[in-house]
Amino acid sequence: MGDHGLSLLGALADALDRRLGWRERRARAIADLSRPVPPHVGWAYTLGSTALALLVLQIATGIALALHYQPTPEAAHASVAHIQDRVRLGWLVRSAHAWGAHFLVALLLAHAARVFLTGGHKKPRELTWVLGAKLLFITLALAFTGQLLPWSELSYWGAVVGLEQVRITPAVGPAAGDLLAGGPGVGPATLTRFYVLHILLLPALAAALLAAHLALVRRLGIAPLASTAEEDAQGHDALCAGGDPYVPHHILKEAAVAIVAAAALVTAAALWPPELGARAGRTTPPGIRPEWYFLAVYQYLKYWPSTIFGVPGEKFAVCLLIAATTAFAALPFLDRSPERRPARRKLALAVAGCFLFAWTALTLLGSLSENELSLFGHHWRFDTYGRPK
Amino acid sequence: MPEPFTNRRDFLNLALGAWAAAAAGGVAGVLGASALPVHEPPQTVKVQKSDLKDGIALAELGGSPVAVLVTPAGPVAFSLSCTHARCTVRWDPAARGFACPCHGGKFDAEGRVLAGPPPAPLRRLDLKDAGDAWEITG
Ligand code: HEM
Ligand code: FES
Repeated sequence: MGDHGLSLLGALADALDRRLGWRERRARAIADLSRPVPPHVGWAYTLGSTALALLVLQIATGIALALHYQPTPEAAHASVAHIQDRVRLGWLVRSAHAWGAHFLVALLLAHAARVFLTGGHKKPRELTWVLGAKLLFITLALAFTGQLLPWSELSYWGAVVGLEQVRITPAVGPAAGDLLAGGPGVGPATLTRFYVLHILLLPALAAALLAAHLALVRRLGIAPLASTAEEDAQGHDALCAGGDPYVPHHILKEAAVAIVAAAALVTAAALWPPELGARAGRTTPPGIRPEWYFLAVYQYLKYWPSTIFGVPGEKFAVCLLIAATTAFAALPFLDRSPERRPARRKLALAVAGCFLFAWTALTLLGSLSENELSLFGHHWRFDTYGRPK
Repeated sequence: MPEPFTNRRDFLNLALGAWAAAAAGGVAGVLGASALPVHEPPQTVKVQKSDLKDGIALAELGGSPVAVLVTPAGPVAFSLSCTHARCTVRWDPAARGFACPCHGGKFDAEGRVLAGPPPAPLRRLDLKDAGDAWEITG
């Protein structure tokens, strides 16, 4: 192009600037983004934007898959096999989308843990947390609805069992189950509905909540480590004195972590593409097990008696689960001390530690249950409760 | 109590708000109703008696697995969807019972729960003798 081309581009930029005023807007945005973050803010504070980067990648691979995927029970499995075996680099796109779900869930859990540990959920950022929790639930719903789409044995029976857990919820359960499944069992209507949820409704909802989440993060700034009372008294700006400017310092850290995460994702996707498995049929294969992030719930449900006072025990189990997830979303209103420094929040951290322990233990038991393990020359088999047989 | 509608602007704002709320409610109502699944009437399937194997004949009714089991008291039709979470139970001829592959549920030949999380017996379906076949309805 040379000089001539560049001056053409410059002229175009000038013309657009006269109409949109983008140069001034950009200058103002950069000045705003260059305000310092609190001095303690470091690498742990890059997880949210890394999740954002992978979310964008997830949308891109999702669109590529949607160009070939066919959402009917007759065609779905074959169309995914086609993507995997015939479409150029289709196997990589599918693998990256599947791995992206794992990465995204893991990043969001780590992001939420970072926020909790540093007291970022406390006043005045309660709403930021509530919106974030909803984003986590939507991400899990995206993972669940996406899993059915290949219509393989595992995905089909996973959806059957998962939907039954929705149906058992007292009061709203049966109607919610009907609405999600489009009928009593998992059939063609279910695939259509899960597809609409997966590519339309849930992404749209996530985009709206995400916009609000990020707007709040910008408006309120990253939480300082000082207590909420100190932040109230001194103001956020004063507590950021001595911190790095967000642009260019912190944003470079965010970009670095996002690039490493994306590289790890592509590496995993290239090395370990997921299997498609057999097409779903009427018989249930043994060993149906949910993804790792649902294993704890799956295992937890098993320890309840089949009936309590003539009512299915899982009704109580599901109520407790809903209470726990509600408590998670409403955490800022339960964890109310003004302190943010971990050392001054021993009780809150101890309670969270107990939950983390239970969750990890249940996840391990869930992965061992009805499974075998060989370690150091020993061989164990485990029953449905995760006890060695 | 504050005076209602002390000026035109308040009144118009309220009227517009009420109109928007009613319109949104109407649209949500119509969309919600259309989203509910249409319930199919009970369906019927014929199971040939010659399909019997190990005392049981398998079939599909409305997309769900069903079976006719011949017991000493006569033939009985069951839905094979486990009452726990709808996995398909399997007939075990040696144990003369049904076993569920998902969470270890077990049922006897009458469909009663023997073990595991299922909260209710297997669902029985209407069965009619039609000569060399049975008609199952459910
Ligand atoms: C798609 C999902 C999400 C995205 C893209 C996202 C993005 C972000 C970003 C970029 C930040 C700035 C600080 C940082 O990166 O650490 C942030 C802050 C925050 N996030 Fe998220 N987030 C998501 C989900 C969540 C979840 C699951 C929670 C908690 C349940 C949460 C709670 C918060 C809170 C309270 C802050 C403010 C923390 C502070 O000021 O220290 N977010 N989020
Ligand atoms: S679905 Fe049969 S035991 Fe759970």
